[in-house]
Amino acid sequence: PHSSPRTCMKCGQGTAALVIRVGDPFCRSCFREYFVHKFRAMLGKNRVIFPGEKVLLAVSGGPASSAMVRQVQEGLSREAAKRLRFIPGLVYVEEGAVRRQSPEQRQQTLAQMETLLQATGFPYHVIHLEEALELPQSILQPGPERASTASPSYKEAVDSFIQQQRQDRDSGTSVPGHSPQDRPAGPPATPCLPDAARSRELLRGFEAAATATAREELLEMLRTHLIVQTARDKGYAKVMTGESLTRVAVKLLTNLSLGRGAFLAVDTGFTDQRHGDVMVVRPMRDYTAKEIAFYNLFFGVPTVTVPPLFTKPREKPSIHQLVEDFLLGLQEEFPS
Amino acid sequence: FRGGAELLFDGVKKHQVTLPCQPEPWDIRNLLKWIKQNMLKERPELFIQGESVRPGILVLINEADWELMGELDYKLQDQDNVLFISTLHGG
Repeated sequence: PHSSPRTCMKCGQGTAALVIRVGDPFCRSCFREYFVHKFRAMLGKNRVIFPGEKVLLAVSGGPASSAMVRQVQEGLSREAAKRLRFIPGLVYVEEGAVRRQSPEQRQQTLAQMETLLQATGFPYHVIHLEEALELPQSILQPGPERASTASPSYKEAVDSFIQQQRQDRDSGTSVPGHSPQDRPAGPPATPCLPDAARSRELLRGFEAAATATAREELLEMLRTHLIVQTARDKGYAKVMTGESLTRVAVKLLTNLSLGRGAFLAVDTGFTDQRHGDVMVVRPMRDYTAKEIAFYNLFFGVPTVTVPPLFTKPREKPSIHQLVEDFLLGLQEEFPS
Repeated sequence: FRGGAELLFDGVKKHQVTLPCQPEPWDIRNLLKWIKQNMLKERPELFIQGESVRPGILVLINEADWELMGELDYKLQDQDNVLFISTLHGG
């Protein structure tokens, strides 16, 4: 391996801090611009988030979803050029019961996440994976799609939003956001865990999965269902998740191996409309894990690391893990 | 060590190490060997692969991408800060 030139290739001035793709050294500030621009371009090009609409951000504490929240924060701020104009809420699914965490460790994770979520100032919802035991049967069916007459085109939505803003300004009312009960009220209550019996029941469900692969799939499915149900309950028609390019690529190959080829488009695309009334959007899918890790480090994005999903002793690795290793190995040997 | 990599090192993120004097130069390649022998408590294959780190583990030297510094060949200097970030998802 040879050293790449140490000057930023974009501005030609700054000291390069990292290499993007093959041989593209970027300095910190050009990297920041590149990172931010990619996010805005993703949303702008796809035009699925309407101004003024409520969007639920699914947060795991991991690097990608945390970077996503930061992008939303910066994008909404007053100083942003072409600032974003939607109304975010956050949802966090606590999964300690299946990640071999003791009640104390779960409390600690929850406390760290509460701090992180509170600091954004956005309304947030913390739910436990155990709540999946209570999901209604209806979750398995796509929700009713909005009647097409009621659903505006992007341009119409922007126009009506601008009109609404003018009206509000004239009449002196502030833009209606969330209903009062969504706002985090004062200092957070001590996070409480579901009672032990439910945690055991959940764990039994997971232990019944015969393979590590099945277990991973189960976790993803339950988590997604919980998030979609929360979106429905709280009136969000859009959900943003933080799957990065690396994660999406792993998902794609894994799903192929699992016989889910028919669902490739919805499972890995920018938008996912299989739930009908709730659309899932993946704005981070063009970012590599490396770009996200560097961004978080350079710009102080807080994250909370949790242990991985439990495995049984002497169990073979899941297809997900094998695929991840395979793809990352390929990336090393054949950088493109 | 960050991103979960610290789990391989007793959960301790920051380690101050003094490397013993030796005739061979201290480069990243040798540092990795030293880490494997002296610091890795369990499952070395989760961190090291062959001579290098496992794919998915990023290496930063003084907060810069090691790809800019010669990767394994970079010669360590006094007070250098080496950061390993895992981008892997469990296992």
